[in-house]
Amino acid sequence: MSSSGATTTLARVQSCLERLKAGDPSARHELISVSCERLGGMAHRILQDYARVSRWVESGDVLNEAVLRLDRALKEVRPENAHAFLQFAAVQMNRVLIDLYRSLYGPEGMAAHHHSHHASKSSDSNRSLADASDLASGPESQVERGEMQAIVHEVVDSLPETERQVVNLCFYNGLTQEEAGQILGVSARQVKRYWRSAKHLLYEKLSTRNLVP
Amino acid sequence: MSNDGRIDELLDRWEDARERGQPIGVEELCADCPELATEVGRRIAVQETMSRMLDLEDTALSRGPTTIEQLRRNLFEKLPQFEFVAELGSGGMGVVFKARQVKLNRMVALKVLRAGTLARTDELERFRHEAMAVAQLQHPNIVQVYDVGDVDGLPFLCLELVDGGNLAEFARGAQQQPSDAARLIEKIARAVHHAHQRGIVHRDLKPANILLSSVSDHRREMSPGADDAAQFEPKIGDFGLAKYVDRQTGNTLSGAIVGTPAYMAPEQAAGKGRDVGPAADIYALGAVFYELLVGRPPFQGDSPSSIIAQIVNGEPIAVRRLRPEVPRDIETICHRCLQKDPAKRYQSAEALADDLRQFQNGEPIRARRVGIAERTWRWCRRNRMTAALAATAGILLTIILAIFVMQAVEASPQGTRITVQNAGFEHGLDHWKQVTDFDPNDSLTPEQEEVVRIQLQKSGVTTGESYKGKCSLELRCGPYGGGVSQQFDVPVVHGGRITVRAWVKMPNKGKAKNKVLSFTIQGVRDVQVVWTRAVDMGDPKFLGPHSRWTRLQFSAGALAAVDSFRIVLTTGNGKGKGPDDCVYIDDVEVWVSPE
Repeated sequence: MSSSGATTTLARVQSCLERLKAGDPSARHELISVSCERLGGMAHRILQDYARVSRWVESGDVLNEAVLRLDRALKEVRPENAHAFLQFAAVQMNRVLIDLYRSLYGPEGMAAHHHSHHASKSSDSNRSLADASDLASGPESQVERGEMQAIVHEVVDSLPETERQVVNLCFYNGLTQEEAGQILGVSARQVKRYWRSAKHLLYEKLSTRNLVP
Repeated sequence: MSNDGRIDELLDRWEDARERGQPIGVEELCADCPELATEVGRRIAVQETMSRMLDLEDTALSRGPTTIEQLRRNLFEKLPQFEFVAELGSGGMGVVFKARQVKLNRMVALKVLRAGTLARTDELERFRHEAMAVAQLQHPNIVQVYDVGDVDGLPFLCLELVDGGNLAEFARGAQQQPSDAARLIEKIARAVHHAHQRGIVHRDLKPANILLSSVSDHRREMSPGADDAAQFEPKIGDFGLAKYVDRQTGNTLSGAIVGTPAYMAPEQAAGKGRDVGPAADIYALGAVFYELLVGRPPFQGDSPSSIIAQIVNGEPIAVRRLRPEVPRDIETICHRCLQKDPAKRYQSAEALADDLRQFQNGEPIRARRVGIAERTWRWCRRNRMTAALAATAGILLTIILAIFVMQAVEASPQGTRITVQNAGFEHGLDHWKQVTDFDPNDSLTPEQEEVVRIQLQKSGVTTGESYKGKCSLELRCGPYGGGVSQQFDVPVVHGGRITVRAWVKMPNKGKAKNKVLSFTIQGVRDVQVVWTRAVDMGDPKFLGPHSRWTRLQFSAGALAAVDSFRIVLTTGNGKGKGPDDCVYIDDVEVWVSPE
């Protein structure tokens, strides 16, 4: 989890929401920027890891799409407080990342086409992705890994509420455990345990699909 | 304490130790409770797996020299072939140094990318490969890449030193002379075409990426009248490498890429990365051209998202609306580049350059203006709701108008229209008072005035010398036989020759034999008949085929100037049975001319 810059994230979100309530239209766009900064870092790293496809997809493209998605969504939803906004933003970021992985590794995905033997392999629904758990392995495992990561983001939605909120705050929004605790009204230690629990539950959900060893 | 509680505590200890940078193993962790070691070990493995899967591991982003001073020292120690001269600038992407290449004794720019920008070995390799491809570009308007390499994983580029700043600094939002802008964009377009032909797309053309080198003193002497813009030679920087150079990490990423979308093609702004090709560079050239002409980019907004939304959905304001003195051809060329659909832009940067050359040579350009039909269609596409409402309102209005017209046509009594020429109520009223011996000092009652008004409208107004009145009448046969008549007065001060012309028709020819149409001229006050002519409507020489109008003309000869005259048209005896049992008379013209 990120520890740097998180203080400013929460403070900026709170400040933007206050300005938004006061009728400052630029606050809405700054809110979007806050989320996109974090998302931009994630997209950049994803594309760095999948170097073969990043020649077609730039993190800027991902961000532009995210900006438009958040912009549209914020026209319909008016989050009342920082917690509501951060949860809302996390959902949007979650969807952008799933779309990104799917665009890379779905049936029409660039990476899938780039490695046709992997694409055909991934079409076998009964296969186990256990071998893909060796995350340090070479580029041959990237297609499977991309699929798995898309699934990880998908199953976040099915976590118990508290764990999901912690994932949304700390993972997607990059808040520190102290700040997440402040928002949720629990100690940083407790946030850390929820976070650990979330990872454990995610692992279990993947293992029921035979996606992890 | 339950096992779960103890395991939680052990995992807390494990995490704390890791965060302190002093990781401990499972055995040490569970030294006091070896029975939990297996479960704790399993849970730690799960945590590590999921952390990797969620990309929570540290990457190389934070590694490497952290200060510019450290970076400079490190770089020039490892690259003795260069001598440090000055720091030219720094940003999220790294630092640019001015350096002297010792062996060749030439000044160069060393651009060092930030640590971690290219974290993976294979990506660094790809960067090196593409940079070498760009280094093959030899064009006077492209910044030459001399060399590419890395020092301890820090990639660097050795570039041609361009000393005149960049176009953004030069223009500073000022409007440039259209001819200067055309010259500049033509040069850049030819350079872009050179790269496109070799499969290299810039993707991030903007004024800040167009560097300016000073024109040599010799050339300046050759063209002493040239203005400021002509003193510089444009050179495109970061060709094909913009995606590396501008790529930043962490908090500044969105600011760098999304923060300057003003020159981004719609397909780029919409996130269609796969569709971004040479046409995106042509769009960007158009956007830069636009800014040089009007002093601002095609779209502006208070946030990147609003600019992106405009790029995708909006149309730029026409150049000449913002600056009317810009030649129409220049506007056409600029907007051709800014087309939303890549297929509608210039098909190559060379075609754009050629059109700009044609303009500068005073020759006709090849681009055509977007027609009003297409502009309307685009407006409708952008404003679907408004367009739909306008179309619906238009249709409704048309229907309502049609209904009104139909009702008016149905309601208008045929043949009772009087067309008044030389009209003027006051003038006519004076005349009426004269001819009727009405005391001019008396005022008319409203009823009298209305009678006079009607009479004057029917009869027209004399000029005193000649008169042409016009009326349409419908003379229906009475339902029980007998004639009906209508009359109109012709006020004539002086006598003269009276000629009557009229168009008549008798729709029901079969029953016309017993009908007579009489034209009578008589005095108004003493009702003395001075002239009459009867027409047998059954006479085939007057009546044409069914429903056809026939022209009649009679001349009454010279009349005394004693009175105004009344024209009376009367149908003869006949028994009307239906709407067709009538004589239609139209355009009755009465000419009163001096003898």
